[in-house]
Amino acid sequence: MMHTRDPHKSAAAANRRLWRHFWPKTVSARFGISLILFWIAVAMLAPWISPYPPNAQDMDALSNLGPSATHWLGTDLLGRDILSRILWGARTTLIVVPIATASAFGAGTAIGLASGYFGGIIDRAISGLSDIILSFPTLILYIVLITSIGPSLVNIVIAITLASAPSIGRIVRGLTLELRTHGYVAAAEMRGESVLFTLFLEILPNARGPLLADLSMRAGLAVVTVGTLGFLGLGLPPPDPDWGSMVAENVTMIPVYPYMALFPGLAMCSLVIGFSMLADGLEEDQ
Amino acid sequence: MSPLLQIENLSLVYGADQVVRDLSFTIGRGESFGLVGESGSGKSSVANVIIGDLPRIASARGSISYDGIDLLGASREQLRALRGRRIGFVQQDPGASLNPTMRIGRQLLEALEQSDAPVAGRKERAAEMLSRVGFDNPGTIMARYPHQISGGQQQRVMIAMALLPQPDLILLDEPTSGLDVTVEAAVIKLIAELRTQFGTSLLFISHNLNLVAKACDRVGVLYAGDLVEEAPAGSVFENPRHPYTQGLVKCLPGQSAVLLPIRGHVPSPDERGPGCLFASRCEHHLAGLCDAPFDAVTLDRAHRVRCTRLADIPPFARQAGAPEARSLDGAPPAITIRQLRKSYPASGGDLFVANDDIDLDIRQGEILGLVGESGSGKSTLAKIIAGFDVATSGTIMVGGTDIAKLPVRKRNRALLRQVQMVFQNPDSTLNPTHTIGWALGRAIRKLEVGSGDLSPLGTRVRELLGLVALLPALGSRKPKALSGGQRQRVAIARALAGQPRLLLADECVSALDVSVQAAIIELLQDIRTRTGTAILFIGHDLPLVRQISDRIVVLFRGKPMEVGSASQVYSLPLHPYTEALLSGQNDSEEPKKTTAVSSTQAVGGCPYVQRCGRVIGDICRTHAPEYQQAASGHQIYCHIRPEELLRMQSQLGPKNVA
Amino acid sequence: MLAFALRRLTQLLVTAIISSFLLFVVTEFSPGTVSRQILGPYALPNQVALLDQKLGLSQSLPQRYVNWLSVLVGLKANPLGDPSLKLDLSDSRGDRYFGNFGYSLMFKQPVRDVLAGPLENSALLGAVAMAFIVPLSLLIGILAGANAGTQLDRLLSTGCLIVTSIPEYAAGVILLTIFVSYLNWLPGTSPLLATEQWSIASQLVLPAAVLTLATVGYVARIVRASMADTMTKPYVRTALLKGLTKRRIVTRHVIRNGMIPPMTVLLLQINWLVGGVVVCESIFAYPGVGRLLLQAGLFGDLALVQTITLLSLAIAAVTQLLADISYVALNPRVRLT
Repeated sequence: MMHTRDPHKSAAAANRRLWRHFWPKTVSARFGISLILFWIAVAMLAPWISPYPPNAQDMDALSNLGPSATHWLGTDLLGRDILSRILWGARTTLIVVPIATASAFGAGTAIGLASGYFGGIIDRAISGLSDIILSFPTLILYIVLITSIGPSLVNIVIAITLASAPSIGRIVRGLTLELRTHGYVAAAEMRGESVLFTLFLEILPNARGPLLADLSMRAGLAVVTVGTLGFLGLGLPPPDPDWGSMVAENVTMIPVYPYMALFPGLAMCSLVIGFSMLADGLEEDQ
Repeated sequence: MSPLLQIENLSLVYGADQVVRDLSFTIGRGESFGLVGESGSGKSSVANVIIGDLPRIASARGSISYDGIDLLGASREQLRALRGRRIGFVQQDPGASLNPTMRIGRQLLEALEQSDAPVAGRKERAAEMLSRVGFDNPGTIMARYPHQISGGQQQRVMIAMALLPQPDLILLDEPTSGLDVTVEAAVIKLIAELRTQFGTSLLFISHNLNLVAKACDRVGVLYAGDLVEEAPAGSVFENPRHPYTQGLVKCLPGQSAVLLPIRGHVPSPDERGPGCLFASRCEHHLAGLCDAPFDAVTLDRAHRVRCTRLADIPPFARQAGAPEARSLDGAPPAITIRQLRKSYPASGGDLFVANDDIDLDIRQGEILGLVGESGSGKSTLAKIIAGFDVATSGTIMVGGTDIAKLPVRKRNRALLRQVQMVFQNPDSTLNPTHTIGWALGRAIRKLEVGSGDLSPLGTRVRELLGLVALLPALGSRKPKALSGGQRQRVAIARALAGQPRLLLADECVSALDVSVQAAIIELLQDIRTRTGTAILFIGHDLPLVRQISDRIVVLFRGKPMEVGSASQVYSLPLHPYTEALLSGQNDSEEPKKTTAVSSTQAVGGCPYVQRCGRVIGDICRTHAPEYQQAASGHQIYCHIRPEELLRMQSQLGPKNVA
Repeated sequence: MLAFALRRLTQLLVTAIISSFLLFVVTEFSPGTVSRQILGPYALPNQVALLDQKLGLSQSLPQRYVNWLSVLVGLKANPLGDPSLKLDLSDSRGDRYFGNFGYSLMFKQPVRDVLAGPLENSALLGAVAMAFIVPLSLLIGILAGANAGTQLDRLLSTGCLIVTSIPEYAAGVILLTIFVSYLNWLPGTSPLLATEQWSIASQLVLPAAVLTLATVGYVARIVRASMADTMTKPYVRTALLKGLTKRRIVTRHVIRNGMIPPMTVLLLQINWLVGGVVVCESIFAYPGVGRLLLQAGLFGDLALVQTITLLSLAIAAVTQLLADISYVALNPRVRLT
């Protein structure tokens, strides 16, 4: 079982290992990550692949709103191309969601680690406050927050962080409580490692499995939240397209022109399903 | 008469892995057969295949015939009809094997549901069975939930449940794992009586050769899925013939003066060839001959050995004498403990005393054994010394500093270097994220060099690995690629990085197989000799602790009951508690561990009085004893004079508890 | 038991005070004060300041919180109700009573009067949805969990995962497209006014279906996970080794133990439903509290927003208490201390 010293071989092997490390093993996770990568590609390439500018009105199309050769998914009542708006809408979602999820995860991990590792009064204070925030129904919390502080990118990120950090914190706390009983944490303390070293190099890396699955699930939830806020009129201000507000604008048209709301709704579903499948697969991987 | 259970040429494969190979044995009616093997030997799979409960990927070949029924060919419905009614099963971990939300009575009655016993008398039958397995109050027990009785009681209930439908055969899969030593002895006694009392045949599966030999007529030794030896229980210790069995006996504490570990490791399924699976570790291995398939040799009526070189294997020679122990009376103390006390507030305003005024010196270069059952406070003592807990009062002096109330985070580097620890669980002692080299390097950097100069670090890592007899190449591996014994070696190397004055070893071999355990014991002794570090070796198994220690402290409810040299405590136990621990007759069926509040200490009596078989009068209940000097360095905490205790032992033998 | 009840009650009270204060602080961020809202955008700054003074809005934040609380429990009269302000606001219950939530500026009526009808409607919707959610999710969860690892399990689990992933408004759109646009079986809006074509019951179908779809998958997956975990417990093997049939093992040993964790989740779903109705009611123009909250939020009707949020908190507290009680009732190992 000696390691080979051939540099070419080991570099190629390292690449393969890296690939295998990041490419999930279960079918559902692979399916999920493919969906997510598809939408990321769409969001990045939107200016080049979308047939029309998102807010351009095609007056000729007003006589025939439905899907046609010129407008594959049809146009809305203002003659704007639905396909282009969905492609551009991916951008809005995929800018807000990663920022909000990262922010919520950072905050949640910090409070969870502190709570689980130190225990005592710190734990009680954090857990108590978390319980109070968690007792608000999430959507009501969003409505109260956003209507009070106003809809903007920063405020949506703040709202999502505030609403999800406590439950992420709970998960991290539970994992920390379990991991800190392990011999290697005690060994780190016995050789005089600092608290931050112990938390971030001894404990956190071993929680990455369940946390990655949770991260993916939270990202999915953030997609739903951003869409729902848009639908309720609390999302980013117009005219930039956003899947949620596209549904809201056209929901009353459903009996006559169902596709106007249906297609952006389906786009939203596919992205959320992508995140859920990835989360499910990652959970199974462990 | 044909045997009750007849297994012939059974092979069991999980996916591509061979778990059991060509296994044959029989169990006669009313006979008890013990199956012994280390982890990975496939012993539990044998029980599972008999009862027809295997994972989906498993496939079995050969034949298992139970009272004329072919079990491998039986339909699911046929198997279900046999379960419980004809073949009983007692699992390990009784706490988890009972439904936590169902009263015990109902769970017992459920065992009779499939039987043809008349419905009317079932409750009485269950109650009667409970009293036959040793309950005085069957009615109360039946009304309880499982969590309301102790672990030993739970296992008695499980045994009663298996016996109720009057099966002809009971399979016991590690029935005492997870139980305290003293409780274990009582359960083993019950199992040994089953056969005579009920005429039930037994298949007793365990990793512990001692236990199996105590409870069974015949013993089979399983190694990597091969039945290497099958012999009457007595012969296994007296005249083991297979090199593996011989090696195994030499690893057993209490069987041999010096533990001789078996080198190497159990071959993993993809390392297994067609020949003898023990070949890679066998000193009698002959290339070519041993690597080809062969049949087992029948020595006499009941003794079969699977070794092709049997004629050349020398007869078993026991290592006579006593384990080597050092007398270090003159040595200066490495650590001095005075008046150490730790109490926790318990529910009901009572104090739960974990350590009670302990006075103890651990001398430089000494291995001090600390023995006691769970809840005796031995781990609490280690935690306080290590700084994971702080004492309520008292002092622990290490090199002029009192660390009794100094938590580990407040200790400076010089202090941290003095005391290091090896932890119990080999699976969690190393961080799975980092390599072995990283773990050792970190310890060296924090405890030794401290500078950023990395060049000597690699050398030191290799040195440390060498110290614990591991190859330097292991440095680049992650813990997952190591065996339990190897991980524990790395943990020892990590603890040795700062050249500690004292090494705490808290149950550090209890999760390992005996052969590996013996190797770690040998290593610790070797390290003491080479580095001069003192070791506090904590364990629950007195013979094992005796094997390694120079001196022994017997702890009960936080109080040392007996202190003396290893041979004094082991060969001449004076204190009634030590005596009970050694004879295995200590029937300590306490209702619940949490209620073990030392209430007697509050009124000033002896802590052991409730379980003591030698109470001499009210003085034991009302007055705390003083330490008595029995011999040089041999102290006991008892009211009775040492000579008197000796006389009592020789006259009456150990008394059972009321 | 008494000690337990007392401790829970204190806990509840502390939580109520802290969360209501937090709520008060958050709503304070709203652009424009109550006075600005009453006087309109063209009022002069000194007029606004004067009204602020009269309403006690120029006081410090904790002082205003105490004022608000005093009105709520009936110790003080609501300054808005003062006839000298000529705001035309009056309350038939008098000016001091327990549970005075103030006046809704959007409706120019006491909040209690505004809320009565919508509250009833939302409760109806929630009850209808729960009546589907509970049996459906239990059935799917137990079926999948008791057969963990089989094709059936995979089918049900993946189905649940996909259904859970569909956001409510998207589910609404999909159902509307199918049942309204193409099939024309059901009404597209649910104003709860019986028409010739659509009965009240028919108007409840789609909103309840959306709530059910959004919840069932999630709860079923939790039930499944708990059941599957229970199936691997040694005591289930004990039952198998006793020779019991699988049906008996599942009904006797698995369901009771496996239901302990999901019971809490199921009750806490009521809490989720409270938020869920907002979207659902918006899709179908259903006259419930959720839609009202959204309108009030967008209008800046502070009293109405605060009241509805407080109400949801109260529901959360009650369900939490019920969840705790059911946990204790199902689990003999837990003792009340």
